[in-house]
Amino acid sequence: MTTSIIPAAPLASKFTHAVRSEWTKIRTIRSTWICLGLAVLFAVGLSILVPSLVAHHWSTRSLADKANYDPTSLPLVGVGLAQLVIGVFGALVITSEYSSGAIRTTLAAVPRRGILLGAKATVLGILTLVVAELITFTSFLVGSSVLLASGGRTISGNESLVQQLTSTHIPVATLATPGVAVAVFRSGLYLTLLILIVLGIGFIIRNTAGTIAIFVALILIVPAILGALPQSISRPIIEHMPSSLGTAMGSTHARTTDYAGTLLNPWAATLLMVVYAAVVLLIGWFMLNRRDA
Amino acid sequence: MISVTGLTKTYGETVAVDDLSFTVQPGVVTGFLGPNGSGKSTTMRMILGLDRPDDGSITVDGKAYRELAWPLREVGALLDAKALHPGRSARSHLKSLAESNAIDTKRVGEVLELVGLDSVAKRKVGKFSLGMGQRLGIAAALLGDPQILLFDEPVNGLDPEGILWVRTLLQDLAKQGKTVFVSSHLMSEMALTASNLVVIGRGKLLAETTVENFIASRTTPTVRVSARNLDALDAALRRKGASTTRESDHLLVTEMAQEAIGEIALDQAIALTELTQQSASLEEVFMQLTAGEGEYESGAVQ
Ligand SMILES: Nc1ncnc2c1ncn2[C@@H]1O[C@H](COP(=O)(O)OP(=O)(O)OP(=O)(O)O)[C@@H](O)[C@H]1O
Ligand SMILES: [Mg+2]
Repeated sequence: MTTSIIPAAPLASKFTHAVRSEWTKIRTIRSTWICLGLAVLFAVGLSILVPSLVAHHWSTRSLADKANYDPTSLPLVGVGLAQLVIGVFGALVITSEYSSGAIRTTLAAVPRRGILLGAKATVLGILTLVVAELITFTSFLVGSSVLLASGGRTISGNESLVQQLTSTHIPVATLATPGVAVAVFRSGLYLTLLILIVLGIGFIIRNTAGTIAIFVALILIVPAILGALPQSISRPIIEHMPSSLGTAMGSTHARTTDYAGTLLNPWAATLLMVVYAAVVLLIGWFMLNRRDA
Repeated sequence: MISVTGLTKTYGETVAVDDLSFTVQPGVVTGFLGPNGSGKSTTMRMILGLDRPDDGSITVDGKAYRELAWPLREVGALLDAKALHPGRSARSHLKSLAESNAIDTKRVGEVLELVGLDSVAKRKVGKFSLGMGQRLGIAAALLGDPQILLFDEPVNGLDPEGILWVRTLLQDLAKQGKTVFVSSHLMSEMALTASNLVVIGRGKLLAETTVENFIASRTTPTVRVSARNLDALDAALRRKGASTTRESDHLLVTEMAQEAIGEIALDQAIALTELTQQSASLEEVFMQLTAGEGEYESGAVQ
């Protein structure tokens, strides 16, 4: 019998090696860069289109419309589209391993389920955070430039609602406006937490179509169905759903929208998204531990 | 060494592995035989901690697979050659595996060269042929230079040159003192490659022995002999205690060794035209042993 000369490995060392391996895996698949590139393109594209339309029709808008207008959120409008691409990407990262059977190779190499899931979440989270901040800051800068170019006026942040309602120029926020830079940052954080939720769903469902269906239902379909119910029932639910939390995180204050009523405070929304991601990933880890690969 | 004790696994109604116990020793190639659906792949998945046994335990070098420090450096496995992301190159695939187990990434080039895939290392594995995929799977198994190797049907899809290559590789690995456990559908292939055997049917252990004993204990040594004067030879052999069966132009003799038959013929001045030892092939022994144990037996063609 040969004696084992392989040194014992502390969990921290196993984790950093697993992270390195997952980073190699994620960056050597072309679909990673296609998805992320599309997310940037869609977000920036929409953040050019929508602000220019809104600015164009500003003078003819109703007072209610003007009251709901948020100078921070409008240039971030592209984030709403980017989240769909990001969600599909998050699903593929794990479900493509299940559909190809590669998960067995992965688990044979990293049999500690918690380490594997943690490494995947870390790599996907960091990569997404970097790209998402690129998306939100670029979208914001591009979107607010479009507003300025379409006759908008930079605000100081101290204007009253009355001033906003009566202004003939569309109000434009800059990164220097109090609370704006952090809201733009939170918006990128939202995309990151969202992709971690989808990763967790992927670990639970293990199937690409199923995971994407659940994600799309969560983001688009359930809020639409709820919208058909009386507002007293639908609003409290909608305001706690990820898409509303995303809007809340991209705002400077707890503002009012027409579909979810008053949104949560931006930091409360952030905290809730963290809780969602943690719970879904924990369930994913639990199932990964118990089920046959 | 691999030790399997009381291993049981059911999928719904199907009992895939049923109270299976065996050990796989280092230094020899151990063949894992069983008809389709007898539980070979399921057993191998459980050894790697992929499927959870309902009952029983498995240790590799005394430890549970999940407890191994760096599993790929202790156990290398080829279960399903297609179990990888089709969009990744062979080199990136191996690099990610090496990184996960703190294996020097220099090994990636070495194993690619060893299996003859260095020229296609940058190509996407989804475009690989069956044989190339199999070679990549073998490269992955060898990556961590482990002491224990598992191969589930490694010659699947390989050409004759590839089959010979795998056979030599398995034997070389065993000669280096490694534990080599290999399943195969080709019983004749196992006769050439393995020295030990674990035979299962419907998830149960049927035999755990050496290839030689397996054949010897289950077949009666038979000698085929013919001569011009077959009647005289037949009578002479029977007088000396042999059992004979008369065929059209030869005798099948049992309970008497080849040399004894030759000596008797010489005594009787009978010229032999043929004297051959008939050995049952592993295939025949295997078919006898597992008769009725196959999950999917073919019916006669109507
Ligand atoms: N994941 C699974 N879910 C349900 N049944 C399964 C699963 N895996 C294996 N089985 C069943 O368990 C039994 C053993 O299958 P297994 O694949 O282990 O056999 P095998 O000996 O490898 O067969 P083959 O020689 O055809 O590869 C079969 O009846 C199979 O249908
Ligand atoms: Mg099999």
